[in-house]
Amino acid sequence: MIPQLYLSEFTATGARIPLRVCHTEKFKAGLLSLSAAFPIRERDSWMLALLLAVLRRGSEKYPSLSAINRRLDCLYGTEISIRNFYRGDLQIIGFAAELLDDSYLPTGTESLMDGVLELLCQILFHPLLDEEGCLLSRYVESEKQLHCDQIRARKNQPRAYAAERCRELLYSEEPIGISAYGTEEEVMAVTPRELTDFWRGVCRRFLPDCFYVGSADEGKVQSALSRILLPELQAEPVASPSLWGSEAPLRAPLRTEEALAVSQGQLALGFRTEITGRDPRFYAMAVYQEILGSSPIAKLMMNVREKHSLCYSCSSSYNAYKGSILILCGLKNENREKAEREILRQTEDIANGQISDAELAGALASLENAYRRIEDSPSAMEQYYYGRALAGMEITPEELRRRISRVTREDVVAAARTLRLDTVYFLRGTLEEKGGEELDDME
Amino acid sequence: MTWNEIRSDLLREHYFTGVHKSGLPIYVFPKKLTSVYALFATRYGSVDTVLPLPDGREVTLPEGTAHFLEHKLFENADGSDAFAKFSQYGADANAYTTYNRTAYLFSCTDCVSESLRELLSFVTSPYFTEQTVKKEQGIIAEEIRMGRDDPWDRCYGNMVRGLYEKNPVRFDVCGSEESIARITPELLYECCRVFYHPSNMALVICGDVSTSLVEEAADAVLSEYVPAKRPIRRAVAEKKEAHRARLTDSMQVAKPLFAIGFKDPVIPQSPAERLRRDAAMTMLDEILFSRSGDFYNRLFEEGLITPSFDAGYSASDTFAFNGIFGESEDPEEVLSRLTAYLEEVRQKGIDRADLERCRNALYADEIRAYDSTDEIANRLLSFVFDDAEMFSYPTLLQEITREELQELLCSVYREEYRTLSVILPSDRSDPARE
Repeated sequence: MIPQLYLSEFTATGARIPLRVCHTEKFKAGLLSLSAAFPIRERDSWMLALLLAVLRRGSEKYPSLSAINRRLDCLYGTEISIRNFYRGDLQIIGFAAELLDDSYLPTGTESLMDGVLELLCQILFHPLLDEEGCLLSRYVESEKQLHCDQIRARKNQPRAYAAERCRELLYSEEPIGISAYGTEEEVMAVTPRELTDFWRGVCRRFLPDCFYVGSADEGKVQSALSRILLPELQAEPVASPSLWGSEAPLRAPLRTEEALAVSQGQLALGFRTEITGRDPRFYAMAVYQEILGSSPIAKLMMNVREKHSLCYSCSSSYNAYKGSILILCGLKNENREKAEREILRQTEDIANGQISDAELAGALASLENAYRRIEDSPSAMEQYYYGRALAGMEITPEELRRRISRVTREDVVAAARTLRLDTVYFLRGTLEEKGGEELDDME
Repeated sequence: MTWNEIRSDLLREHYFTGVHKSGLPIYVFPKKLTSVYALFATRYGSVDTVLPLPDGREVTLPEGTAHFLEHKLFENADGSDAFAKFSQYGADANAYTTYNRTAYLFSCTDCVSESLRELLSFVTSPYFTEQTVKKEQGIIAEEIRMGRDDPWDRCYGNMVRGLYEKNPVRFDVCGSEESIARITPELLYECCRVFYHPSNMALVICGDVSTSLVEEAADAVLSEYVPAKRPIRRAVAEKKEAHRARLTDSMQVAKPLFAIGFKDPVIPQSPAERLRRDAAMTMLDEILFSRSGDFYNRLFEEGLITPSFDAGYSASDTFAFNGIFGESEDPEEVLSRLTAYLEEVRQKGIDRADLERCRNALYADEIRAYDSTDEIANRLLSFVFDDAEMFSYPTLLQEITREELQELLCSVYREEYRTLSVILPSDRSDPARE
């Protein structure tokens, strides 16, 4: 059983801050996170990424990267991860820290929770500024370069790049399709003054959701947040932005191909469905996705890979916030058409009711297993509860499992029939004939 | 069977160990979590390239045989797939091959006994035909291509090839398209007979399980086996110095990648000494190259390296090396800065405050490692295959002295043991070749 989750709220400048606490003694390291949601907007999307990176470089009290990292070492190697991702049409930014449980610390050690919160507040609200009240131009210029490096390095990982490109095309007319990177020209043009103004704006809008898993009780967590975080918050109450976007436009499948100097081709297929997480048919769609490309005996694995030997990997993923399914397959260029036909055949087979008892039972068991193990990991619990809270659907994993267990073959077939192909992206590998060079000859 | 209990007061954990009558060493680590994670593994990996035949002769195996076998064992004689069985139980099955082991695993939240029996059974029931071997060659060829397109994999692999001239650690775990084409069903059967005997394997399970449940599963599946002698892994004679000082390759990358390797000239014969050396090298890496250390911060502030920076020590009974990895417009400059930095620390001596700060951070990492069944089981397995005791590790971290670290700093980080592997963007030429 998942330990009881306490939900409480505390107030700051009239705004209400939700705090979710899961009190449990089963972990040696707990988790504390602060996350805030913003609507995805052009420019803001990548400015947020740049800002977070600059803030991490130094604060008033910890003026350099090494000072921040040394402080973390003193907090028993606590790691702070900076978050920046899209959920539906929202951009989430924030921080998460894994805290070693107090009972493993020598007596007399300072409270790690207080220490981490103080450091987080330093990073977010007290960055190092110059005499004119501007973020240090040295840090801004350096992070602009690193951000541009990241833009250029997207192609280093062909599989992830193909998935990203397919998503950009699939969502080209929605906020989630807005680039999280920007272009090199845009990024290089940002001045320290602009980024500083942007930072002040973010502070005025930063109203976090707080989450804690660990052995401290609700009162202790709330007290630390009230003492350390609350005095820093400046945000006025605002209506929470919605994660749910508008319906996806209907269009003929879009086909795009790019070439890259790699040895393997990457085929990515993007589908749309009207079924999102707030649809009663969501549970059937989750089962569909398992049968198609996620369970250990998924149709894509068993047919495209095992039966036809076309690839090493072929799998699918379902974005329930947007109502989309993405299929990825790494293959030889010459197998591209054959693989696409075979993949589409699998989606058609399910829509035509060709689901074996073993496939259905396997998918249900696989989801049951996946949702039960959430309680084994603080970060999985946080992801689950924060994701549901953002979506405005507070449902326990137990209830969710119950609903999934009631899904029938007919439900899955009906869900399958809502799928329509929207985007076909192919990354052609131009090194296919080369490869297998003997390295010793290269010197 | 007799079970021994091993306890750690520091970690507040314990596990049981015993040898099953089939010869299989079993490790049960009780943990009150929902998921159960089990590993059934053999001491057979990509470095084991010599197969002893029953008549006393030896054959050299094609590169990638251990990994190929890992793929093939999931297929049953009736044409079914082991994944299908696990799927019925809601268990997630998988496998992996490293330089020195092949491990089959599942994790589940229900039907532990059924899944465990299936694990023990499919791994010990090989079935191969010409046709099924041929089919797998196509799939693995794509896996090899996928790896070839990963610049970090290539940079790492080239570093190892730069360090070792003869040791089979220099081969890719998957082999090559050419080498796997030489694999036959007969060869795979022979590898199973030699390397997949329970005496050469280990079963590690972590979760809310009892020793009796595990013993019953082993009794039910492995009744035909009796203990046997383990095949001996022989070290290939290899000089202490690095094979090459420098290896350059080019690929689709935005910025050059580098891997600086140091071949450890000493591989202690005693497992306890190897473990101590591993702990000391890990600590030294933390002091020299962590994100709170001077080297990373100086080079990062100057823009010479990016946040993609890491260092780590890899060791086994037949090879050991340390690697430092990153991205830089000028890897040669990073190398010369590294040389100067190491000299500076040698001259000044390791800072005592740095040492204690790193000790605390590593101590905390050690404790945090005991929160998930998969992490615990994989960790325990790697200690078992190194013939070392897992709970002694945090104590070692407390014991390692500054003098020990200084000695390692002088004896391992030397130019003659070093190699530099660089991946240049495809559109740039190699300055050293001009």
